Amino acid sequence: MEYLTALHDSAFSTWIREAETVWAFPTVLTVHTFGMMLLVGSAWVVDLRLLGVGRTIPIGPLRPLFRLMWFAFWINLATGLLLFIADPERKATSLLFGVKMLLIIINLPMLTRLERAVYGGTADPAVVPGGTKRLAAASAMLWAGTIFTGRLLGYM
Amino acid sequence: MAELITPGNLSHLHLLLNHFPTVGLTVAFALLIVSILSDSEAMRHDTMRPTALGVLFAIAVITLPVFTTGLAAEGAIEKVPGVSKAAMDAHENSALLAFVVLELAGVSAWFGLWRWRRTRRIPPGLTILTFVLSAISLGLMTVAASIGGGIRHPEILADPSTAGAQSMFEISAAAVAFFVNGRGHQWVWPTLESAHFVGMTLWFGVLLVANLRLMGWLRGIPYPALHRLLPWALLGFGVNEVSGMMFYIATPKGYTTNVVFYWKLIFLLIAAADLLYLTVWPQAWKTEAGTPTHVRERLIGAAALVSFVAVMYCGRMLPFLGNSF
Repeated sequence: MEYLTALHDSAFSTWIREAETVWAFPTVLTVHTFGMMLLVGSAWVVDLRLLGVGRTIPIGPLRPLFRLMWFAFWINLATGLLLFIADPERKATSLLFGVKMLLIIINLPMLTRLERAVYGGTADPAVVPGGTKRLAAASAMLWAGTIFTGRLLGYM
Repeated sequence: MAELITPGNLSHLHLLLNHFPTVGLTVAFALLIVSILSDSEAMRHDTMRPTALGVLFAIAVITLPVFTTGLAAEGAIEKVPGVSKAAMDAHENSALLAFVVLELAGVSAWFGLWRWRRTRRIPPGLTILTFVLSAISLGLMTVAASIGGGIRHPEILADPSTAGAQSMFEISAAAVAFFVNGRGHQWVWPTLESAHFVGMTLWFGVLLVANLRLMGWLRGIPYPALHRLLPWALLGFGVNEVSGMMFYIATPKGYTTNVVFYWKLIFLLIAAADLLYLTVWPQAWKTEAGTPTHVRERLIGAAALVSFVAVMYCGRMLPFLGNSF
C-alpha cells in the first residue's frame, strides 16, 4: 500500500492527474478511448462474421484486423498504465478495476486462440471452423463487459 | 468558432434549421406519395422513391441539431419579458415526440434504401411503414412548429391565452430528465455512458471496415458482402442517439454553451452522410474481390474515418475543453 501511496505522490502521477493542460489526463483518456474503439470495433466485426452475420464475407482477408487489434491493445496497455499511475491507490483497491482486469486477462488468450482456430488450417478458410463460434461469442461478450466496467470506473 | 456561440446566434440557428423538419419533411413526404401513385416503373423503383427515402433519412439526421439548438434558444430568451416558460416547455415536449417518430421514419427509410441497393426493389412493407411514420411525424411536427411559433408571436394563436397549453401529443422532457438524474437514479447516467461507449464501438467497427474497403484496403473482400453488416452500424448509431439525447435533455446547458458540442454535431452529420453513402454507393455492386477503388472514394473513406475519430474526440473532451460540467 505504501508503494501505491508513493506512486500517487510522485511527480509524474501528480502531473498526469493535476496538470492544467489538456495534454495530461484528458489526452491520455482520449487516446485510451481511441484504442478501445479500434480494438473492440475490429474484434466485433470479426466476431459477427464468425457468428454468421454477413456470411458472404470471405474470412481470409479479415486477418489483418487481428494485427490492428494487437496494435490497439498495446496503445491501451500503455495509456491504461498511465491512467493507473495517475490514480493507483483507488484503482488497486477497486473491485470494479479488478473485474475489468480479469475480463481482459481471460480474453487475450482467447484472441490468440481464435486467430489460430480460424487460420491455423488454411490462410483462407471457406467455412467457419467448428468450435470457433462459441469462442467468438464469449470473446465479444467479454469485450462488452470490459467497456462497461471501464466506463463505470470513471464514476468510482 | 467559440466567439460565434452567443445566445443570439444559437436562437438564429434554431430559426434557420427548423425549416428542415417542417418544409423538408413536407418535400420528402410529397416525393414519397408521388412515387407511390406513379405508374412509371422507373419512378417507383429507380428514381423518385429512392430519392424520397434518401431525403427523408437526411431530414431525420439534420433534425438532431434542430432539436439541440432549440434548447439553446430557450436559454437565450427565457429571461425575456413576455416569453412564457410554459409555452417553451409545451413546444419542447411536442417537438420531442415528433422527433422520435421522425427518427423511426428515418430508420425505416434507411432500410428501404439498404434493400434497394441489393435487390433494386424497395419492399412494399417498408414503403408503407415509411409512409405511415413520416405522415404521423409530419402531423406532430406541424403541432410542434405551431406551438413554437406562438412563443414569440402569440398574435398568431386563435386564443393567445392558450399559449403553453399542453398538447395531447408529447413526451415530457422533464420526465426524461428526472429518469436520468433524479433522486435515487444515480445508476442511470453511468449505465447510459457505458451503453454510449458500446454503441460507438459497434458503429465505428463496422464503418471502419467498410470505409477501409472503400479506400481500397482489405481488397479481398467484395463490397456487397460488407453491405450486409451496415444495419449493425445503424444499431450502434441508434443506441448512441437514444443515450446521447437522454444526456442532453437531462443537462442541456452543459452542452449548448460549449463550442466543442457543436463541432461534435458537425462531425456527426459527416458520419451520418458517410453511412448513407456506403448504403447507396453507385459502384457498390461492381466492387468485387480485388476491384480497386477510385481516388474520389478513397478520399471519402479517409474523410469519414477522420470524422469518426473527431466525433469521439469532441465527445470525450467535452468535460475538458470549453466549459461543460
